[in-house]
Amino acid sequence: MMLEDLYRLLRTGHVQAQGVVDTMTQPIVVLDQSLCVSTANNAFLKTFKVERDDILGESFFDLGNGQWDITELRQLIAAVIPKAAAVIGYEVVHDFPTIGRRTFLVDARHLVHPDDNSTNILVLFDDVTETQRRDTEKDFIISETRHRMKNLFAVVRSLAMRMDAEALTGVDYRDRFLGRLEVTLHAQEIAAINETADFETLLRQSVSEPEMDRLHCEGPTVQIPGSRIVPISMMFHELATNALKYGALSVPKGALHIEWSLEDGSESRSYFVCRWREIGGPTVAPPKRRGYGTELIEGTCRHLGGTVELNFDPKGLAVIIKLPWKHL
Amino acid sequence: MSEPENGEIPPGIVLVVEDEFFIAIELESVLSRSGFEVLGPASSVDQALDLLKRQRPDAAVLDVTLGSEKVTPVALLLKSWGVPFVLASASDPAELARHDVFAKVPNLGKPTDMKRLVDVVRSLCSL
Repeated sequence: MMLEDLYRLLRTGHVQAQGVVDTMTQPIVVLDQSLCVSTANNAFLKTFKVERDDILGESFFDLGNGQWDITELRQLIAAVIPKAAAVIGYEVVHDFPTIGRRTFLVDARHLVHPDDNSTNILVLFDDVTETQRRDTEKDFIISETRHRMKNLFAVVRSLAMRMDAEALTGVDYRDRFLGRLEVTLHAQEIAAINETADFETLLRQSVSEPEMDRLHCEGPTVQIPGSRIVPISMMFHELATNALKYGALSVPKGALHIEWSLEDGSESRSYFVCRWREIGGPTVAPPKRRGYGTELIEGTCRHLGGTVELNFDPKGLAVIIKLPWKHL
Repeated sequence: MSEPENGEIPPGIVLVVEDEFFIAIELESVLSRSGFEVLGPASSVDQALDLLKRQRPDAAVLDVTLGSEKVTPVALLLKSWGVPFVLASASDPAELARHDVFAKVPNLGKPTDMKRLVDVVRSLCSL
């Protein structure tokens, strides 16, 4: 082989190698025996915002006012040199003055020159900052979803436990259970999507469509906070169901009047007060036993720190619900 | 689970903080059927703190996430009083470990095994 051919062969090899290194998206730097930079690829210059001329021949740990003088990195390189080994995926977290806090997986490899046994160290950086951030975000979303699922399951279980099952056929129990489950899930859906919900909208949703014109609402615009959407919806669903089965909405002439307002109470606290009145329905008699509906309404009001008065007036059920109110 | 016998001293007053109504009343009924006096259930931090102004419980059962707030202020107050508490939360152990006040506190999880809850609360009250 002619010397010229040999030169051409070497040159081709070199150009190819250089091309591969420059095309790589991961930053690479080669250090000589005294840990000075002998070469760096384009990705290195771009990632760390440095100029080639400013780093070549300079001591790596002194670069950019010592921004590379990272304890972990020193240890890593110190470990590579004597053992002539490669270290793969060593995690380094560091605050860089120009590019901010980054997490790198660093590979370091010992390169031995065939002629003089001099050593070079190839250091390769894999920026996993963004990947790790996305992983954390994903973990959070998964954990949040799992949390909600568990909570929802506990709610469904308690709902089934609380409902009267005595003297009901299986079919009746199932239908009532599903009816209540539907209201709960629907209200949870509203609560999940919205920060707050308009009280009148929630109220109207609890009364079925054909009865809408017999529902008379009067009150200011009130936004119900997310955490209260479910209990308030369920409470009014119970009242409306009761009105439809036994109360004013069970006869054609009957009607519902609902008024609400925000009122000031003692110790500079406010209350949301809602008055529910049934008119023109059949004569009302107090229930013989506390049913699920009554328990739910009383329990919910107490749970929200409020009170409820259920007045079984023979002319029509009258309910006053009073809940402590935080102005949004 | 049985009603406490007449004249028997109730095993303790238990604060319950849980924002889901159905779960709250289930906790309440299970604990009161086991003879405990239940304080609450409270659905928010403010409400729980209000109850604590009036009465000091012997133990507490806390949910961690209450709507958009965390139960932390209640837990801190209880801790400062030396009132033992247990968690009944669906939260991740890793999430809980980030708050000092919840570290090392047993979490019975959700859905909660009510029999175990009663046993744990009973042991807290007899501390």
